[in-house]
Amino acid sequence: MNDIDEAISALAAGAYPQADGILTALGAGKPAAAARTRILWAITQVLCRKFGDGVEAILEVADRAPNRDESIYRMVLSAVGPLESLLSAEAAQEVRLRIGDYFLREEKAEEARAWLAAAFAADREDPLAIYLEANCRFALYGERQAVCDMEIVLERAAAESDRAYFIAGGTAALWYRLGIAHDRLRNLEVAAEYLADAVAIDPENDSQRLLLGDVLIRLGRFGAAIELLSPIPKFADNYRYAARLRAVALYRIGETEEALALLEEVAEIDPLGALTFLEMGRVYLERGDAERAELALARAFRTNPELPGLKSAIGTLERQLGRHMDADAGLPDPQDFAVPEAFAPRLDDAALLQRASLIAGIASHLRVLRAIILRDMLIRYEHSGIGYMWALVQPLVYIAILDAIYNIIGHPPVIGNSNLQFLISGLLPLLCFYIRVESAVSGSIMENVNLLYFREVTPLAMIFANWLREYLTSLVVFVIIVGGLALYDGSLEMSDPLTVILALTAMSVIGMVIGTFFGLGRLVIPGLDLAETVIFRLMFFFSGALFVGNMIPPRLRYWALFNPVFHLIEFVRNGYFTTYHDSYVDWHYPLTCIGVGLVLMMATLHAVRRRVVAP
Amino acid sequence: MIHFIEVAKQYSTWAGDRVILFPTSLSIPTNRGVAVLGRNGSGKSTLLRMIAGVETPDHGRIIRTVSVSWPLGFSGGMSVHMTGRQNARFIARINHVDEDDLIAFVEDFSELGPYMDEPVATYSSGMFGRLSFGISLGIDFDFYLIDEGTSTGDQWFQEKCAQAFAERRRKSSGLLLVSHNAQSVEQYCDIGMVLYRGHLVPFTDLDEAVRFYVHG
Repeated sequence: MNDIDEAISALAAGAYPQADGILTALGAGKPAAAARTRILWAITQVLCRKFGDGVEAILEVADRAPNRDESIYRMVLSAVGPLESLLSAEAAQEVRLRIGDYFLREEKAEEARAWLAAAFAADREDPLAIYLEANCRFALYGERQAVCDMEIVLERAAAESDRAYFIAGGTAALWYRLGIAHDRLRNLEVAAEYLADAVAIDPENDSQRLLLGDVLIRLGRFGAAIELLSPIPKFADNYRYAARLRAVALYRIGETEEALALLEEVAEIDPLGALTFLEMGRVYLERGDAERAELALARAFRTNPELPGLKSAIGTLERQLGRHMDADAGLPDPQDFAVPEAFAPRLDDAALLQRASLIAGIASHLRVLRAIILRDMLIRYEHSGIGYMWALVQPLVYIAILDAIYNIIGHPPVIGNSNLQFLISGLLPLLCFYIRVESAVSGSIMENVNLLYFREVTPLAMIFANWLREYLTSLVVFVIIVGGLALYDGSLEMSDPLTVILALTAMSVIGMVIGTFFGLGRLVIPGLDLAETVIFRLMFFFSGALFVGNMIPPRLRYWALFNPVFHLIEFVRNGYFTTYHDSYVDWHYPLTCIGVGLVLMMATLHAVRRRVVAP
Repeated sequence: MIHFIEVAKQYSTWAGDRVILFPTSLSIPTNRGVAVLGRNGSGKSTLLRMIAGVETPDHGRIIRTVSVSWPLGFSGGMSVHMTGRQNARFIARINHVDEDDLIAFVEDFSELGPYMDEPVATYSSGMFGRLSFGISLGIDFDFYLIDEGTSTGDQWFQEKCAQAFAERRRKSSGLLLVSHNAQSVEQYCDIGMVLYRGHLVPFTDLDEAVRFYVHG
């Protein structure tokens, strides 16, 4: 027989100290122990009347359980099996009642429910199980019937209360909980009776006294409330609450000065007790002393703006004042303060004089770029390679459709040997290097604005990372399609690859600049999408993707030449075909556009840096 | 140290300009627990965001001579379409710490279990906070910025954070906390600043700051 089995048989035989000894020797008292051993130990602690240790261990095991949605009761059962298989029926019932009662007192009725329902199911005649199960139902659903159920078994449950209550409250807790229930049901008279019984049984319990005092005030029995609350001594933790309630009662019987003095005293003890200031404000309001009421309510507002009842008190005050409340009322002029030594500006701090290392700066920027690129790739292309396939498939579909149309209408190749080559040299660069980059950059600003929460991430890094990612993706797509065509019909000529690459890169930079403007604009002007679409169409139409410079009338060409993308597509074709040369275009214009665009982009980013922030 | 050099900030709203901070020069010690007290709408969170570098001052400069966390809290910062693990990876990359080490720490600290691999969009605010605090505690910052204005973390987690921050404090890390909760202010902080009427008034003693803030 191993040690665990030995402990289990000791538990079954009711020899709890022996079981405790064996389990403790196994190290079950330490959090490192296995869940089952730890739960067995915890149950033993409960039965050995070391309740605190037992509950703590159960909560600790529940915290590290893989499935935290599961109730603690289920977790315990799945660790050690049904309690009856482990313990005698009485002991099992005791464990259920104690732990259920614990959760009830901790206001975790959800957790208590499983324990107490099981206790009730195990013995439907057990008055404690009936009482606690009904209490749990009331806590969860506010059932009136549950309160009746509690009342019926009250006396019988009290006779056996030591089976469940032994941390705090004792038998009085049975009356106290009925008092709480009736208070919630607004049966103040009944609540007062139960609470008075609870106070009579256990006069030392301040919580019961406080609630009774509160109920008595609401019933208008101010004298009784004052008498009841007076015995709570100044050093007690609950004195502040008792004194506050007493002040309210005193005020009601006309002892205004005494009430205010008491509230001032409480404010000294508990400077952040918003309720004290609210009560003070109410007293001054009723006295018509708006100035002091403002001071008090401003304090209440500063300590807890969400305090129930504060809003309506401030409303009353503002009607009396005829203006908004000054929430800083009572605070002296801040300009009168000298900065204390500990906060004095230290501009001689050696760290201030250190120059940032250029290399470290560049390394940090590169890290951020890499992080953003990896992150965006993950979001965009999360599900295996389908997203990436789309980057390749989309332009192929466009090209295939246009090629099919050209074939159907019998359109002769504009340049080169086939329509396919014409499309790959014009439409493909436009789709991949301009449109793709533009829309990615423009969308990224709105999508990624929450990344600016991290100081390391700047808008420029976000834009640049998106450009780089799309640019590299497009390069791969371009090489695959051009290479694929070359393998397919062996027609690749590519007279000047360098020109092609330069033109493609320049096109993507234009896409980045335009995308940035629209991306930033959309943050400020909501309807900008429409303008983006219109400008997009114009750029597309005048881009030369579907015609070449030589084909169109000079007047149209005059306008097309204003589009830098038109120049760049023509350069792609110049570099692509040995037989094609367009003399209308030049490098100066698109490169100047890029230079001016980049300067404008940086200036705009600087200008809007206060508006482009993480939400 | 965090140096404020003539830092000023205001907001333009339809109701007119609202000054958050008149030009202010001071140095905040970063090896202490600093509480920022201020009523709703006084600009506490904006101040925190400026220190974090999320927002830029209108005027002046904020210089950080130590490593400073992002504003920790129960909202903001994470990409909701990514899982907890992916967010941790991203933050590890930008902060130049080992990705796997950080993830191991976050898994252990925030105890999100299988939720580490669910999109953050499915998280409750408590889980969000657990992830955010876990990641930042896994990166050894010198100064943590905590916005408890919207905090709803459960008791268990708050205690865990309190422990973790207490440990950091022993290693002379500091923190700056914006909170309404008197208890957590007392738990984490030993000095305080009161932000009101566009001025930041520092106190070398927290109790003094609290008393001043409430009573004037």
